[in-house]
Amino acid sequence: MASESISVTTSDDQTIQLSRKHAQMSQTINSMLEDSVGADQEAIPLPNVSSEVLKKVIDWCTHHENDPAPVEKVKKLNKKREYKAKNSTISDEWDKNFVNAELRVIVDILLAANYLDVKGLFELMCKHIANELKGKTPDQIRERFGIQDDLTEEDKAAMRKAWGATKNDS
Amino acid sequence: MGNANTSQSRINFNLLGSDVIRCILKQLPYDDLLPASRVCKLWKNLVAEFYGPDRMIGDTLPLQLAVDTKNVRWANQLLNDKMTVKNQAIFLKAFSLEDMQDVFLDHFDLPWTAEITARVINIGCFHAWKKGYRAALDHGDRQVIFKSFVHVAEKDWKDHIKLYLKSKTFDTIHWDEYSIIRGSINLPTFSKRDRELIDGRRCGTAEVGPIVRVDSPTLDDVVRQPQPATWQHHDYGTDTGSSLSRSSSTDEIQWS
Repeated sequence: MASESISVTTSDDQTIQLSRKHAQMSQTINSMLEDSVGADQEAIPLPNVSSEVLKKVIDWCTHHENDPAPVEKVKKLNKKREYKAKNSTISDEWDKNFVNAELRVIVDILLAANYLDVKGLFELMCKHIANELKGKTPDQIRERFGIQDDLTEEDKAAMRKAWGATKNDS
Repeated sequence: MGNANTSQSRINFNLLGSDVIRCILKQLPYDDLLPASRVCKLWKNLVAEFYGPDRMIGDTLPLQLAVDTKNVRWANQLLNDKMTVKNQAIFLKAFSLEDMQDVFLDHFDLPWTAEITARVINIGCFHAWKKGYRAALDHGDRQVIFKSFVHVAEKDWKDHIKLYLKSKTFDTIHWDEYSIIRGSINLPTFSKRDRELIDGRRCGTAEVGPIVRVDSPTLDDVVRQPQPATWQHHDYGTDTGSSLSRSSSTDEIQWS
């Protein structure tokens, strides 16, 4: 019988125990567990996640451990790309408090959720960052997220020609 | 994938990689996609993968969806974009929405068909949308305007008549049309002062300088002389200082 807890080693060489249920909420860890069936139970290395961030991930997993498993979206057969703006409202009060953190921490959790493949957490972080982008001008977005403006004057002139100067745009 | 160590003091959003940024951008409402696409080259290319003003969203044009969702900011962005697909049906609907009508009128570059004219005139008549009403008078389908005018002239006619007489349409008015206008103002509901307004002797309540009408046509003139005449419009920059005149020697009627 498989043990009830899993050991993982973080990027800062901390060994952390997490329950099998929480570990299985990460597709990455789940795959590693499946690959290591029958082998000695060594700590699973997570070189891209710090202990501090992993604890946050575990907090989220603990709160959402009874949520229904996310359903894999069936890829549409037709090749036409359709985009529908998603509802980025965060309705869960606990989640609202969870994302009430420094942007630096949010980005780290997003990176961890992406690496560990925790779909619900990844989606929550994307929604939160999208909410941060809403209503901002390109300049404000670049400043808030530390993004370099690599658009050439030619690019900008083409955009102005195509779109004109609209309110709230730089 | 970058290191997710929180000891980093500086946020480097570029660490996220294009797949993650694409997921974030796909969470944005439509009206935030244009600013997002102006952030940097990567974001511009990512937005272009899944959104464009000329691309259907499901079975709906973006501009149609902007109108349906009453998203004025997005509609304004789309109307500024030359790639945006427009059609008469979208404009017809937008003209009837109070929040949308001005921005759509400012960007209206489709033909002023009878249907468009009728809708705009109608909205202008019943919802006091003077901007649209005036634009319809200046650019709209002549027959529709005239029929609408005669209809409204019997009701809340004062504002309409002022706008009508100031419109470009009036510059080239024909005798037969003028006779109908005069016919309509002779309805018993109009006072003498109202009739003077239409005759051009005064406008509103203010007496405005000398009467410059030389030989203004009467209803009898119209009946006797059904030939088209040339009208000139002279705008002296006031809503209350206008009068109508006709030169007997040149057969020109002047609006001054």
